[in-house]
Amino acid sequence: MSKLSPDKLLLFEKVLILKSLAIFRESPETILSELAPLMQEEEFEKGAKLFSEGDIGDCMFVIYKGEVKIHKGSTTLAVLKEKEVFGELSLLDSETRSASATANTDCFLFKIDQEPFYELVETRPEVAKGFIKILCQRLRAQNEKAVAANR
Amino acid sequence: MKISRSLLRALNVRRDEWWLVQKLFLLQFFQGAGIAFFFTASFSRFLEHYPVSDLAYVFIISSILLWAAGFFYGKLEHRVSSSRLSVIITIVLAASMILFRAGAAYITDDWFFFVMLAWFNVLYLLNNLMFWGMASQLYDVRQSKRLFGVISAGDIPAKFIGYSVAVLIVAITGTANLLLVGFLCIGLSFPFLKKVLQAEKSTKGHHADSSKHGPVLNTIVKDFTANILIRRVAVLSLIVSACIVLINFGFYSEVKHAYKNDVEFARFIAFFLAIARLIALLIKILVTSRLLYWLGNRAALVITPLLLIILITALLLTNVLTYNTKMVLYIFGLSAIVVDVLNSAINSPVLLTLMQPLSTLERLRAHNIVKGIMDPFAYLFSGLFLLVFMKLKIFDLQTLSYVLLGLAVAWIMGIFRVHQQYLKTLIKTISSRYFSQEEFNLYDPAARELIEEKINTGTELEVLYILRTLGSRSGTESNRLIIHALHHPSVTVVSEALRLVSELHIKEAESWLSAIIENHPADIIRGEAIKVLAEIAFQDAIIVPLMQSPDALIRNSSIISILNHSQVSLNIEDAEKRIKEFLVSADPAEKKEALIMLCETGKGHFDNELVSLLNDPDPILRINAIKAMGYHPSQVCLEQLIKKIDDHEKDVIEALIIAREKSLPYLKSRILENKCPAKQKENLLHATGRIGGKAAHEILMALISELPGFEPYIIKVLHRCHFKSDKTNQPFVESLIRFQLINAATILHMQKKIVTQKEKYAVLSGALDLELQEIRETLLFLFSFIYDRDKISKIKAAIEINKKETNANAIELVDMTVKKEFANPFNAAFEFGDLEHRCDLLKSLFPKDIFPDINAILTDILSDTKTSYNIWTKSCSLYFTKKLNHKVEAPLIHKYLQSENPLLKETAVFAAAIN
Repeated sequence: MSKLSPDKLLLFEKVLILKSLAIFRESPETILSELAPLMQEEEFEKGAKLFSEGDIGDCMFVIYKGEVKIHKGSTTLAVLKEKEVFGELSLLDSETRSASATANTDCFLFKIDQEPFYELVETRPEVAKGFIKILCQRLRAQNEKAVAANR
Repeated sequence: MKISRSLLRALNVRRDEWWLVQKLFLLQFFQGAGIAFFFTASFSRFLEHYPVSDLAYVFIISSILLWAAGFFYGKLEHRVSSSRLSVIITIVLAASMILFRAGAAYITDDWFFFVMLAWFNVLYLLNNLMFWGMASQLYDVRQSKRLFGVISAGDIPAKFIGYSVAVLIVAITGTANLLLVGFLCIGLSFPFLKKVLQAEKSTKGHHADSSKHGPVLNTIVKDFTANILIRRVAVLSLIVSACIVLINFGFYSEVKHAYKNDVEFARFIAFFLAIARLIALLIKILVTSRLLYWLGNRAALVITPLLLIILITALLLTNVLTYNTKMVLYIFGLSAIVVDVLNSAINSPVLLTLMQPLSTLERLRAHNIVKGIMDPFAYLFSGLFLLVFMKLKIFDLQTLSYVLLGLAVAWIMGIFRVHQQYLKTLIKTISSRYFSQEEFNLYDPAARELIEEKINTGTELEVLYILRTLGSRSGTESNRLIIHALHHPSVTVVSEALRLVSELHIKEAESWLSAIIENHPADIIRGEAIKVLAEIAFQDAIIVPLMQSPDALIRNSSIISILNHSQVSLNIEDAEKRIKEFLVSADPAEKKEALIMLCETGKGHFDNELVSLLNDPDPILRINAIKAMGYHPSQVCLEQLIKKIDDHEKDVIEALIIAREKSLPYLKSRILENKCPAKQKENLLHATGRIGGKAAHEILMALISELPGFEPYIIKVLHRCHFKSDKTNQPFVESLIRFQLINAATILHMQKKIVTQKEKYAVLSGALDLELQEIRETLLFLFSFIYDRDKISKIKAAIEINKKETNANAIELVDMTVKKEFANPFNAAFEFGDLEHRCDLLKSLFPKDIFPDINAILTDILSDTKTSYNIWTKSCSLYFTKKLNHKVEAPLIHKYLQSENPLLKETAVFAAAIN
């Protein structure tokens, strides 16, 4: 397993990892550098359950190495790969998980918990502003999709 | 075609724009030459047969033909694609040459000569509509300001060459065969048209949504009446065209008067036109864009009518003092040259620029109106004017001069009106993308009834929305509706209505409030009603007995109300005593209640009790005590409060904000303490800004110099608290602007160095982009201290959209709002476009080649002396120093080993490991 874990990553490198993710592509590094210290490194063996459907979501995950299967019972909804993110909305609210997540291979993930994120948002409004921007972009994209679908 | 940097600079064209600029230039060159040959042929043939005075009929025929052409153009514009329309127009130009050549061989009737000369105006119109239609779609407002002068300049050498060649070859070919040369020229323009149309395809086609619009004429009329900018530009264009037609007529009459021989006459005209075009070319290429850059639109436009007034006045004086035919001819010639040259070199491109803030469709319609409707009107007006005056035999040079003087004055007035509307349209264009609000009118009885009905029957949310809207206005009707909402069954609605009664001090609500205190089922509402009643009409008789109420909410409300509003000292003392009893009570709940009460009144003296509670073992009581101290900011309380900042930063800062001006000295001294962490400094600066007011502004301004590295943050705080500079501090604000502009230039030069290895240094380049964005934001904040804050906010919002068109509009607004010393370098630094060109424009701010290599850039960033860079930029520099083995002096790295920022400190440790 330890072969997956990188040498100790610098905060600087964690920022670069965040920046490489689709959801943070538009976020300035100055904001991501506030978020990077919250990234906890976690390793999971193949088959390990990350969370189950119905659990209260209180963190988001970034896949650094490996694959994660998102499933409802035995039905696979998606297999997420490196540089993909899941559970990001749980950073902002505490809804129950709509599906389960299991390590599809040995995985090295970064986990960001809701609680320290809230604390960060309280002291750094620009982080909240950055997240609001991301949500707005997603909402716009969804609206455009809906309009296109209705045409 | 390769082009040197210096030529691009001279033309004010950016490298990435050059390909299209040259194609447009050549397109206009060949079509312009073709039309010049047509004019020479038709004009000389006309003058060969008819006197100059018959030009009046040509003007009238021109107006009819131009209207017809404009009408058919408009029809076609809505039926075929823009590219097909351009091809059709070019074919019409070519076909006209051939058909009139054939006609010249067989038709000798009078009408043919008149129509042929009038047809020149149609060709000129069609070419204009097509060319400017394409150009206005290809370029945004900023580009058009720079480029319209250059691209349209193709027309001038074309005419220069056309007229010169015509003089030389006319003896061999005959006038009619000049039309064949014209046909050849139009044919040569086809390959360039094809290339331009390819480029146009990549931008949004303006005909794409044409089907959604109504009949052409209706739309044009609607635009003319509805859009003030279009109307004003159209009227101005009419005045300008009439001036040109009349002055040319006067000039040709004088020429004909001076030169009896037709050959001499034709040569003089051709020579005159060739010289005029040469001057126009030079002005257009070398002067127009710079003139606009330095003078702005309005002053540039005023030059022509002003010169016209001077020349016509000179003409009138010459006429009165000594009538000299030659002198009159020369002055008229000079006036014709001035108007002709400046109109094509400055007026036409600038007028088109002024229409750029309109939407693409409106812009095209405006252009159609100006060219397709106003030009014919100008011809009709001039033709009729000349005919009537000649028939009445009152036409002479003096009459014409007075008419021209009148038109020139109207011209200047028109410029001012157009410019005023241009500014409004520009602001509207930017703001309409963000704001849209409908308000109801309370003076309308129907609207009032509807609102009242809605308050009775609407949902809680609907009534709250109505109350919020009512709260933003005051007046009997609005107050009556707010009182009406006090009957609503929802506690939330009544609570909001009570808040508004208090805020708007609605005295008429008194009896309703008494009734609520007596009867309302919700204690919370009764408690609120006591406070509101006390505020609008305090009555000891009603409020004081409530102090004994067994209900805590009612009791507390009455205590607060007495402290705040009673004039009877015995009652006040009693209320104060009750609070003190609670503050020292053994029951923590009573202590908490008392602390909450203290947050609703600033009256009374509770220092000792509060200081004691500040150290209470119960953390909730401590926090409540901190908050209460904000409302009772005695020296003792503030001194104790600031001591608790490290343990309860957020609460203490909130309390200091509540204490307002009294806390400012404490805030300042804490900010300047060395042990105060950077993040806390920012929070305290923010708090100072939230307190606001003159004293806070003065402290923040002083801190800009005293707190290096925090300038951008303090400037942002000053902006948030609506700081406006005055005569005393404006020079300081201006020095900050200059400093930030130099910073922007520095970073652009760093970018220029990095751009060749962009992939390798992408992260560093991204960090510098962020620096540049921050500088831009800081500069806009600084501008808002001196100039119109609303306009600057709109500029900021438009720039943040990060689209070429909105950026161009914003930059244009900067140009018009901010003084040139700042606007020009700001625009150069932040306008979209070629980096090298932007650096060239900023060279006066920044010495060339100060960054010979990347090492120099990294050293500058890490030395952090002249400019304070972001943590991220410094971390990038540290990281790349190690990763890419750059040579940076060790002390520059080691100084960050003790940084309080974890990212910077960790990256410095990483970098120091090998350095």
